This record gives sequence, C-alpha cells and structure tokens, in this order.
Amino acid sequence: MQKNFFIERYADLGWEYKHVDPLHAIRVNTLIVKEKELIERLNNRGVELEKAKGIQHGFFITKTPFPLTSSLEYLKGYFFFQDAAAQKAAELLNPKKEELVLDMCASPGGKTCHLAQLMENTGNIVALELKKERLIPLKNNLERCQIKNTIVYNINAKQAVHFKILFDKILLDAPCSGNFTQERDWFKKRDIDGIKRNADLQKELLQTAFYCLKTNGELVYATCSLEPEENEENCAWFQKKFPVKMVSFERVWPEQTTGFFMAKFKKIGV
Amino acid sequence: MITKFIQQFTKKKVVEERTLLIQNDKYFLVDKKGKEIIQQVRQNTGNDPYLMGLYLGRQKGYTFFPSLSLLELIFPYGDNIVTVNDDVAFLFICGRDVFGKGILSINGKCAENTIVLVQNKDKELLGFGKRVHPITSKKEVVTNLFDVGDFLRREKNRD
Repeated sequence: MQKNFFIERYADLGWEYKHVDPLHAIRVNTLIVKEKELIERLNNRGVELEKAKGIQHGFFITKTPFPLTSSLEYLKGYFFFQDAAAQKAAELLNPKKEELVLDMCASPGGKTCHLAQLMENTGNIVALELKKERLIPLKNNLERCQIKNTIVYNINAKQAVHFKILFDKILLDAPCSGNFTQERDWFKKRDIDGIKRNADLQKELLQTAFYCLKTNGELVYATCSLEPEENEENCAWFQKKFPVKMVSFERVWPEQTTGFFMAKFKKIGV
Repeated sequence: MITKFIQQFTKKKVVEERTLLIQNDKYFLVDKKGKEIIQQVRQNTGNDPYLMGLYLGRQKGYTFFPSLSLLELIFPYGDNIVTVNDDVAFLFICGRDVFGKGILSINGKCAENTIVLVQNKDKELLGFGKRVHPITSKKEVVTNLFDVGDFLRREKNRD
C-alpha cells in the first residue's frame, strides 16, 4: 500500500518506478593527482572505469578485482567515492578561486572536498555539521584529500545566521528522506508525515541560507529525495517568500546513479 | 612540540609560524582570511571551530601525532628516506614493519634510532618509522610508527 502510494506519485511526476542498482562512482581529486595518470594507473591494475557523462572528474566503476577502499590510491586521497549525480551539486554551484563559500550540512565531506577542489584549495569554505559522530568521517576525508581551505563547526546550520558573515556562494545539501536505492525497506519506513516534517526543516534551512548569502550571491539547494514536497514545492515556496531567482534545476531519477534533485538560485534583493 | 617533531626529519622550516594555530592540543595551518573568519564567528557566537585549514596533527602528553598532510609537507625535504618494493609497501600500509629484503634503497644516513620516511618505488609517501636494526639484519629494519592505512583503520574502528 505504502509502496504503491510512492510509485503512483513518481508516475505522476513522469517516472516509471523500477528496481535499480546504481553503479559505484569515484571523483578524481585533481588537487593531488592528474586525472589521466590515476585512470591509467587503476586500469593497469585491472580496474575498469567508464567516464560519467555531464560531470568533470567522475567515473563509474564497472569492474574492480580488489576493494578500492583499501588501495593506496584511495588512502592517498587521489579519489573520492561519490555518487555521480551528487557530483553535479558542487559543479552547479561552480565556486571560484578565493571565494567565501558556506557548506551547510557537510559530513561526510564529499561535496566539501569537491568545492575545495573546484576552488583549487584557495579562498575559504565554512562547513557545518550538526551531529558530533559525523565530524570524524568529515575530518578523515578532509585530511585524506589534503584540503586546506575549510573551517568546520559542529553546530546546527540554522545558527549560521548568527555568524554575521555574508557568503559568495552557499551549498545546502539538505537532510532529507533519501530514496529507495540507498536504503533497504525504504518504502516501509517512510510516510507522508515524515516527508512533510523534512520539508519543513528544509524550509528553515533555506531561509537561513538566504540571510547568509550576499546580494547577487548564488545558492544550490540539493537533496537525494524523490519527493516533490522536499524538492519542487520547497523551491516554489522559497521563490515566493524571498527575493531570489531560480537559475536552473535538475531532477535525476534513479538509474545508473541514485536519485537526486538540485536547484540553483540567485539572490536578487535583501 | 611540532617544531621538534619536524626537526627529526629535516632542518628546513616547512611550517610558517604566522599561519600556525593551536587549539585543544591540535595544530592547524590557517590563512589570514581564515583567521579573520574564526575570530568573527567566535565574537558573534562564542563558537570555536572543530577543524580549520590544514590539519597538522595533535599532541598527546609528550607525543606528537602528525597528520598525513604534515608528513606530505615534510616529505620533499626529508633527510632520511627508505624506499621499499611493492610487497613491502603493501604490508607497510597495513601497519607492518619493514624488513631488509624489501628495501630498494636508502637516502641519507638513516642511522639507527633515527626517524625515517618510507616511500614506495614510485616515490609516494607511505608513512614513517624508526630505524632499529641494520639492513643486513633478519630483524625488522624500520618499525612502523604511522602509515596512510591509518585512514582505513580509523573507519573500521568507528564501525
């Protein structure tokens, strides 16, 4: 019953539900290794990779004779395991060298490291993480990838407004309901009330993001949820409530990647 | 403490003091703008960062535990470097010591009881250790003090 409810609403949105096994993907950390060198090196060890379309440094892993997590290349931070769709979020924000960027919900740091990579490890990223236990993987990943432009705070992102700092760009990869490709029994565990609760929290975070953004600054709002309340409806609410302009948005349904939604906004007033 | 640690590897100054920040026995390199942000957040909210800039390591008692980032900063200037073959490189990043037959070359004096950096044949830093026995010995030549496999072990311990 519950599952049918979700399947029907996905059909209404134009996507026919099917079981998918997204491919594992990596992002080459060009801060410390050249893409061609890493790919050649992994190929020589029997790892088969396929370039993911539409992203700069992403590759699907199609075959590996050994666990890549224990490879020297991984340990040295030459690459990051990151879903190919999720790699689009930092690229959509497109932070430049020397900019000041806020990453509102940072752990485990895949997108934080990606932002740093795009900024060539210059400028500053302020990364926030509410949950103490999630700081450890964030720290490990920043250290492993040799990130040096990030300041991490263990606080609720809603408090960022009290920093009294205005940022050039903001990434809000919001806590969300997730989707069925990431979690077993997802359909059994989710109901519309829970989704609405998440949507309310996301609205509060969007509001905070607005107040932390410079005029003409840009914000990328992203979730890995498939639910319209957490995506299109929140975007519509944000545009109605605040002087922002939606620059672009993209919904990725599960296929080779997990499901993902992202929208880019420009702040046009105070 | 950090200066003393670095001096075990090189006399070269690899860390600029003006960018050094110490918080709760943890050492970081932070640029000027980063320091201003930290100051502003502290003033406005009373919050200190959990992590900032480049993490260099932490002091626990009289021991300094370096980060991989600090070792990478030291690596180009390291006086004593032991190069190992692929098999030993793999064992080393699994936390094992280095035995003589896996050593390809030794740069610098690498005298007994000195701290040495360990690299693979592709000149990639694997970690560091202490030279304990002569290369001809059947015992371990370099005891492992830290290696890049630490990241994996940290994750496993967390689980």
